[in-house]
Amino acid sequence: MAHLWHLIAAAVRQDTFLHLPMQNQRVGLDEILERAERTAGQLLAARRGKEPRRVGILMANGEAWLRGLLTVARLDATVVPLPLPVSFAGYEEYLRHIQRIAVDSALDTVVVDTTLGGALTRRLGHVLPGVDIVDITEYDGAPLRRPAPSAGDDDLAVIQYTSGSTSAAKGVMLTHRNVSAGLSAVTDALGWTDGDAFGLWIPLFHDMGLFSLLSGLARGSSACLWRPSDFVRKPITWLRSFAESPATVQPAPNFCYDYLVAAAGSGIPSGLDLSRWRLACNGAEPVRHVTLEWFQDIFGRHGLRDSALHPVYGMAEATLIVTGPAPSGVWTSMSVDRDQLGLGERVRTLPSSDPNARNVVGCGRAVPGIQLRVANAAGEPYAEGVVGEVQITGTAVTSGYLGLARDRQPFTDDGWLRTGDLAFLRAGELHVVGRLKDMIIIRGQNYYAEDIEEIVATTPGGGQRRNVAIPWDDGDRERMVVLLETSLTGAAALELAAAARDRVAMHTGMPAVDIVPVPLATIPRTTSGKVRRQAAIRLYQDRYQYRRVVQ
Amino acid sequence: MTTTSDHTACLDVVIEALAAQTGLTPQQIDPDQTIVTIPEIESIKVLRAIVEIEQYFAIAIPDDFLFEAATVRGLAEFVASLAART
Repeated sequence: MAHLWHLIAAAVRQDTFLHLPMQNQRVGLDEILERAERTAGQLLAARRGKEPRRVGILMANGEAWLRGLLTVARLDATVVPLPLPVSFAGYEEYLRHIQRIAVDSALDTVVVDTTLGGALTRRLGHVLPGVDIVDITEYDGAPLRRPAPSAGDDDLAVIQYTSGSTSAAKGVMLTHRNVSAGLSAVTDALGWTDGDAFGLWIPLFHDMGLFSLLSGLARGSSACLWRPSDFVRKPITWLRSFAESPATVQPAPNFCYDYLVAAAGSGIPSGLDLSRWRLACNGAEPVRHVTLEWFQDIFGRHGLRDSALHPVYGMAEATLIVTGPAPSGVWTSMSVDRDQLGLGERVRTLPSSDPNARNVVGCGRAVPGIQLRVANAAGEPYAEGVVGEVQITGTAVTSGYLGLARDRQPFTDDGWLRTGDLAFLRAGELHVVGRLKDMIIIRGQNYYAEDIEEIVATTPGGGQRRNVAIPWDDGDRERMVVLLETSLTGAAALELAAAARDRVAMHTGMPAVDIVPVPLATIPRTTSGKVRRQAAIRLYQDRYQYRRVVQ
Repeated sequence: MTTTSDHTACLDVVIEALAAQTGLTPQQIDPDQTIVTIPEIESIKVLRAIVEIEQYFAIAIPDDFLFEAATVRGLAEFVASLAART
């Protein structure tokens, strides 16, 4: 049986712990399961006996997050992980985002704990009428008295929302069968042993955090949990805590490793020993060649193994992992012509010293249970060394986004998931080079062009605010470039651009935006008025790229 | 009890910390702008600045204050009120 509750409950050993190193605490998983029985009783009581169906989890990383998830599984309901607000972006836009998710997923309950703070919890109650907000910090209620959970393998275990959307919330539907297959794919791909333990600070509402944690627990392994603020506030202190913990494998986005490299500049404590760190998984955003090189160079001196750096490729739609290198291998990269990475183009290798060379990191082969092809929109595979779209199928792959019409679901005619990512294969290894979908990833979060366009379009001050957002990657970092049509010129145009930029920042907390004011009727459109995005990109490249922009 | 001069001193420290993280000069940061609209700011840089401010005043800023849409001056006033209590 693939049910998430049974998967975890059956795997628990006496020595399976959730370690919370910053609190100097560890809790046995058997204890957490028992607490979840009580929390399930409390949740039912708070809902006056009504069975929950869709339950949001909204709190910082901790025991209560995991217990909340197990509680929801125990009650045969569906988990909807909810993101925490961005620092200093304020409540208003954030609450609207939560509201959209609540409506889309038909939430009936949200579990919170004290980490959320009273002010936010109260506001949540106001914007989610009819939804029960249940604080599960305490677990002293009477345990649930009912038979073991019995939801079917095809019932939804998790609805995972991809982040950043302002217009349409997109919830990835994951059944118990998907999740069960996805969790074993992670540990199988990483060559998991009984001595391994995940250590993670990334948020549990993010798919990489959630499914990594669960995959280790489903093998009966312990896990170590920090909070994002532990890492961000004091990265080197966190690193030492990680090195001294039982953790052997860390999943994190590329920026985490960059951040540690930068932090190392102000000193590394003597005696730091990273020799037990078996795998430093790098995924959830593009893997940068220089990051891996620097990280290896600096932390290799503190015992980090050459084989530790582990570039992976995955997504919520696959219940996480899609490809990964052999667990004991050393990462590889190849240097190719950056101007020949379009759909259907054959890559050309170049010496890495060539000014047009781009170093692309290999992310390994498809993991057990996932089939992968690099193909065109019709699903016809390209030869090795030709750039195409990554398409996947397998038990862990979602059947689609919640509530989206069939013709808008991202599948080929033969039922493979279109990831929207561009890549080529070389000796069977996936090399990701870009994206077909109009999106950028910053700090592991997705930001969609259409969302940014909508925010810019509603900048106050009159006029139509016609604009086009262009995802831009210069090979080092990603940005969203926005061409904004205006009749204003000079300082007034720049002022408008600054207002639009502030608006994007307030809505998304994302700073990587360049707003370029352009004259009216500049943005290329079809006769029906639809933006011609490729033409807009060329226009930006040719005419505006090196002009003064408001950042 | 905090005084106006405490507030001014706090504001200077807060602006310095934010400027250091964003690579701006202190003059480029408007005390009355919302923190999230400072050019090139992002949650990670804000948190780094917060750590510096906390260390300077030997205070701890609670995580849920970070959820507010605070201005630079608002943060400085909050810091001053925390510093006055210690």
